[in-house]
Amino acid sequence: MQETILKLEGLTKKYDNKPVVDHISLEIKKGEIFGLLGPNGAGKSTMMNMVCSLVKPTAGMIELFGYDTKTDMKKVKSKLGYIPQELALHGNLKAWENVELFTSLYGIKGEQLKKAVTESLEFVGLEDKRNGFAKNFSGGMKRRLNIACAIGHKPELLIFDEPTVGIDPQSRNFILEKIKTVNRQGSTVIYTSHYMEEIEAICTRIAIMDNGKIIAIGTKEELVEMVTSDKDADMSLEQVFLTLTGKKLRDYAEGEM
Amino acid sequence: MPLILIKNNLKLMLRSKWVLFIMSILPLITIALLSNAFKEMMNTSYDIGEFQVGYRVSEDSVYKDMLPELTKTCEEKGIQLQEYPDGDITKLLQSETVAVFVKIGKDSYTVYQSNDKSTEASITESIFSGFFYQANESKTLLTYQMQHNITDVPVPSSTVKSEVLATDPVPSSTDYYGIIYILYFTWCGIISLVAVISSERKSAIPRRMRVSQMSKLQFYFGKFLPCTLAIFIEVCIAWGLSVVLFGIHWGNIGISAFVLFLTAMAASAFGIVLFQLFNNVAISIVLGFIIIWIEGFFGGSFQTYMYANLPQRLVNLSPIYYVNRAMVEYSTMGHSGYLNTSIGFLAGIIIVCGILGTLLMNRKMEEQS
Repeated sequence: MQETILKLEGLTKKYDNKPVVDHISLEIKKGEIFGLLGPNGAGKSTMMNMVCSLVKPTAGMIELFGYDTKTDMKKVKSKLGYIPQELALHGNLKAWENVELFTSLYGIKGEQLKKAVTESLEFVGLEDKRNGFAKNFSGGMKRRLNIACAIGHKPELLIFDEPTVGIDPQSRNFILEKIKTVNRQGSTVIYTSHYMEEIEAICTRIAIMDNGKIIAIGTKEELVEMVTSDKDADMSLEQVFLTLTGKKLRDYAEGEM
Repeated sequence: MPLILIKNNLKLMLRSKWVLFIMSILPLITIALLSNAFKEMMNTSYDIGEFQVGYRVSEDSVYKDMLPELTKTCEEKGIQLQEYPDGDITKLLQSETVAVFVKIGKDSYTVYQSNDKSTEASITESIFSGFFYQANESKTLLTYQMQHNITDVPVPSSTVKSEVLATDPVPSSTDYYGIIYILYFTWCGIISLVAVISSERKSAIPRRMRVSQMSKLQFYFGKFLPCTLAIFIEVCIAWGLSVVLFGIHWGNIGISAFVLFLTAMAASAFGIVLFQLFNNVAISIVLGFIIIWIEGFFGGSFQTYMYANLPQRLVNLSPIYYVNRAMVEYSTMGHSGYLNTSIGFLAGIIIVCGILGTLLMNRKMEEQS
């Protein structure tokens, strides 16, 4: 029986009495690459923000590594790595200084810190650019540096919130390969994205969210089975997604989610 | 203590070239411009020079016969005594034909002055009272000698001796503005925070930090300490350059450095409160500069505090006034009774703004949740 890394029970978040995340319950096991898929405004980022204690839940329970985050979040912070959707870098700091800064926030210092900085930069292929200022990096390099800043303290759970937005295919492919590598090295990964092919390529289990609820959860094959009785059907994840969530456009204003 | 956070935030602040220019070069330009612009004003305020005193004497005045001698005494003091038997005294003063007017009656006299010539009036009054007092004394002595038939009286060569000492409690305009503007720009150092705050706010750095193990107090010191150091380093550059370029005299280097460091701490604490109050960096800067300008206005940063015609209650409320005065007095006299008050004010700002800044930082994080 695999260890449960994250357990959500009846997790709810309401803004102006309108549920954005609506009674979600799920479990993520150690070693998984868990994909979270959903249209704009489905509540994916809000859910991840609650897991990271960036947003307080209206109701429900979050258990990380067996600890209730409401009371024991401090005990699990060192095990958590968060790569936000927006870049979280200081443009006027060099690549190594950015990694050093964010790794040090987890209490790592001295030689251990230096080693962690070098390893993180090597991991994302930026060791030769360590003295470059982040503001001068390309979009793909910034995304990679963004990841390096979150892995220096060797987290057991990594949360990627749409880490490949606006980058070239080579950088995207590099990042996906690296996510698989960190997973092989023992980290559990939660990956949210709009890109079906990314989720399909790396995730061992996928949850599809819509209107704040998880409407389907399972492996890709299990999701296909949910939408068709034809066992030989060759459906892409995108077709499954559109079948489950519909083709209606999801427009929402900033701040609604 | 979050040393790496402090180190990197300090790097961010010192790498901002425009902040470095504002903090290290702009004070020098301001000192050069203002010390030259106000040189004459300060000199005229200190050196009164020659001035004319008008007088009118009544026919029955006991002082009438003494006036030629008094005129001579006044001339020695650089005062032209001129008789105006007729004419409106107010008009004479308004037209600045005379600086002071004295109306001499039978056995008394009245000094007339305009509001802006109080110093000249005091000098005139002092000379007149001294002269008439001595004259009366001489007259009494003479009467006594005649009554008692005394002929052999020793005459002292001079009863009052005066000496000019080499202490000048008034600074030159270069020294005054040189000291005041280094202190003023230390307050303007709140701008150093922009390098960190704007970099954080245009990205997801605060969220990444909140996920980390850092406490809110550590976040506070992660900004407060590097900002204090950045302001102090930048201001010390300006301080050193101003001494080399303009030869500004600071009284006691150790005490001056201590006061500058405390001011840098107070400015940092004040700046953090402002940046926590408003999400818009520009609003925080504008409001901060307005407050500093008002404090400086009452504290002698623009018009010298010695000659500013401002309500003393408002002047007393400006911490800048105490710091300015303490540092200027250290420069001119080597000591100041205002040092403890200025340290008290600065410590108060650091403590109050420190508590407020930490609370606001907590509130902001709660709001974001």
